[in-house]
Amino acid sequence: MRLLASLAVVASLAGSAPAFAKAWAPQNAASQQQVKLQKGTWWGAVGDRVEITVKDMLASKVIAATVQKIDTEKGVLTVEMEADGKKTVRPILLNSILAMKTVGGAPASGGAPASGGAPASGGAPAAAPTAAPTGSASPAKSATAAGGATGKPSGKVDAQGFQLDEQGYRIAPKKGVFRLPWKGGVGQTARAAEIEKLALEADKWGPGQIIVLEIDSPGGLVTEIFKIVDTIAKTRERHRVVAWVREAISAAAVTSMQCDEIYFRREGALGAAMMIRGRDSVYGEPLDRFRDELGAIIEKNGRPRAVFEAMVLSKPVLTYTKDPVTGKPTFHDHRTGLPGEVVLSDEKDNLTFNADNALDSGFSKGTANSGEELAPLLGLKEWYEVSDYGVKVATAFQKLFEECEKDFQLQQQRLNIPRAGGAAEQIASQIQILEKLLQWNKRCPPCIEGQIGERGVEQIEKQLKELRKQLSDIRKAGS
Amino acid sequence: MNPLLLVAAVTLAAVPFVQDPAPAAPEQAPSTEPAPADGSAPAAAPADGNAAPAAKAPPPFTLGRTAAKPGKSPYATDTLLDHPPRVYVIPMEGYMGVDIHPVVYERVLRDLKEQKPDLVVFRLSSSDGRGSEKYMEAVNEAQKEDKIDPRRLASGITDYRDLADKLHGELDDYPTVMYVQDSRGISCVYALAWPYMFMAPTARISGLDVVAELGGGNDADIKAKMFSAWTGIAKGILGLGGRPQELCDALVRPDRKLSADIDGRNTKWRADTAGSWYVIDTTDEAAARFSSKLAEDTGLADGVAEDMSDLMSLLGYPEYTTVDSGEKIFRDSNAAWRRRYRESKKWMEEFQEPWETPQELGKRKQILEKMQQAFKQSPQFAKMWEWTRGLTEDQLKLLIEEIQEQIRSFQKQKQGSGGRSGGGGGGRGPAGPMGPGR
Repeated sequence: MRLLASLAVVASLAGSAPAFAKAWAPQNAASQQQVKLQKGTWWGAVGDRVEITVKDMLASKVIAATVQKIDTEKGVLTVEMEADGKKTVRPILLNSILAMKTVGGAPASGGAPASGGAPASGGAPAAAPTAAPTGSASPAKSATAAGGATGKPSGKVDAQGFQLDEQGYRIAPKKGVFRLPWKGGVGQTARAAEIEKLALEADKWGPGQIIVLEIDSPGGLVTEIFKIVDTIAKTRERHRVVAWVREAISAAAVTSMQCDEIYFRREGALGAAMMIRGRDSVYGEPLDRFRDELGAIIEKNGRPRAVFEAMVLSKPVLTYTKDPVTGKPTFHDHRTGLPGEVVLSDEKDNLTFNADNALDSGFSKGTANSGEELAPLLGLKEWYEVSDYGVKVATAFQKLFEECEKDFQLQQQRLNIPRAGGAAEQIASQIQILEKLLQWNKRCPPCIEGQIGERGVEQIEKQLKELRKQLSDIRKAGS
Repeated sequence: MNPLLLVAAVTLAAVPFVQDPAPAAPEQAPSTEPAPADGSAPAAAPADGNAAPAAKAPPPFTLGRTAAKPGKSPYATDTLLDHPPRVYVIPMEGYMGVDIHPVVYERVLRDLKEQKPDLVVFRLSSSDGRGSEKYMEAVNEAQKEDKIDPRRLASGITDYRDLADKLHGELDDYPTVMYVQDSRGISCVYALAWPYMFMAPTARISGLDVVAELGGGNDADIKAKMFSAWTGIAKGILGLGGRPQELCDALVRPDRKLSADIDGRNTKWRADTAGSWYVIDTTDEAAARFSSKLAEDTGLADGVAEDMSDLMSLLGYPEYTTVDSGEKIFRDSNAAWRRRYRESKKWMEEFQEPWETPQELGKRKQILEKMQQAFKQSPQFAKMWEWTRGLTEDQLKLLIEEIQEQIRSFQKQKQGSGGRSGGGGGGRGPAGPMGPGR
């Protein structure tokens, strides 16, 4: 029901979410830029008069200067300043700047202040990046109208030192992406939880951000799929969610089809979504519900249900033809006999796309093997990751999960090792091992529950109780 | 209580691997696999008796038949070098996933970037064979040591994909060419993962249908799913070489046919036997296979080269110099772990000797600790033990702990003759890993 309730949301967003794609096109990006300092940032332009606090041995000193050049790549700010009564041009390493404040400047600028931590006030807000020129179908306009990011510095910074715009959203130096490596088993290391966390992080920069799910997963739990569907649908209300596929098999294929757009890596594979249990397919009510609910959502996402059906069961056929004039591809759930028809999946096959046929059939929007290749496909001038939050969160969880999974198996086997110290030591050792398993369950529940289920955890707790009693009895008898 | 799964890349346990008792040099294995067609054009006539297309003389291909290929062309006509090229050779020899392993290529790539060559040549020689029962019977008969089940090798396909992707990512700025000395089994994914490919006269590209054997399941839909997932992943790797779908399908799927039409410098692959120039695969029993000649004739390979200098000639470089540090890194690295591996087999034989005295337990523990250290030092060493005998780092840990307990047990018995019972321990030693052919 929860799933069906979310359908309306998805449907209403399907059209508007991509509209954010070109949001936040800075009008004056060439002159205004955000500069990362040792702590915090400064927003300004060449020509600004600034006061710079720099490290000087163990102390610090303040320099009054005019900005000549900003090279954020090399981390160097070139300024003109007076020294010993003479004007001189000097480079200053950005990471040596403790604080920087605009005190006046070029007519077009202004520059918000910044200092090490968070300057609460200061110079006038810069005439900063704004939305695309009025009159165009500007996504930024949509975002602004909806109370979204304006890109105009408010002169405020948040606790992490990011410049904030008039709406209180962080200002990114340039348009970029939020990347999430979505790797491993679905419901294990590839989860809805990380997508949700990253969406919340992206919210700090305002609506219309691009979230790239780097999908590399052999599939996983059906139960997690329903969580993912909800999470992506909600995320798409605010942001543009893109699947970038290396391996999206089974549940990961279904996940990809929830996204606004799908891109492939050259070696990408996506499909094979039949529901299974052990070495058997699952039929009947669970499969019917799976096909009905997810098929409907995929269809509302603008993808033919027939594509999904061909990934689930082997019997459904999927072909496509291209309009001889426009070249526009059309999928068919039966053989049409039309000239140039390509059979993607016949009566015996289960469908898995590769980069070429996904692109040719219009299932994917492009193929890219690096961020630099993907950027133009997303409508970006260059590949820029606004925040590394997604990478950090995913990597940390994947590491924890792998560690847990490996140790869980080892600890289970350790239970059977005969101990030298007799029955009491044997039980004490088993207690220690079971306690360790419960500790893992606290640190990484998806891992332990994935291995033994919630009931398995309960059984460990029960077993632990019994062993403690046994040990206590043995010790009492011995004393 | 299995949870409902939407997972395709099944665990290895799902694949009925043959624990072959005997591993050995990976170079050559006896084969009962029929040789690929020798390439007389058109190749094999349809087995089912359908009329084969009439033979036509192959079109006269010329050098640089590379108009529509992705990647940076290695041909002299494209590189336009004003000096003889410095050629960096990257060997890919031995077992996939063991000798051909990411740790070696990390070092090779670092070296390559320092050397700044003009041209990169991958030299592939990896004949793992097919996963048929006949193949394994032949292996057993030949009593080869250290033979790894081809399906076990194939199961590392996602690792091979990631390595191919990494090599592409790091080297796509260089003109690169694949030179196949021989490729049977899962290594074919590398033979075809680079767009510019040459073959040695005796080279084959065959047996990639081993991927299709990775699937499993009890009903038609799960089988179709697994089959689709594994073959989809394999075809993805071939996609790195810009190979078209019809060709990829025929190479990994036994049930697909393959023929080819030739149009100018382009080959149009067909998923049937109606191609007017070449009919490559007419059967549903095995995937398409290529001899060097057939590969050259059909344009799958850019040409047939006797050796490196012949290859360079064909690329248009009468003069060149090779940078052989990559070869050295590869050989040294693999020689080191293989040497250690040979030694370790003796250690483990010793480990499995029946022991008489408690002191010998300490020696057994030392052997396992040496093994543990070797496992940590070389992932290739570890992989070889795992894939040939099923021994893992975790099992070593457990065995060591078990022996420690036995030693403690003896010590307790010795100390407390009048005290409390020392509990278990003593008697037989811990179960050892699967021994070599015992």
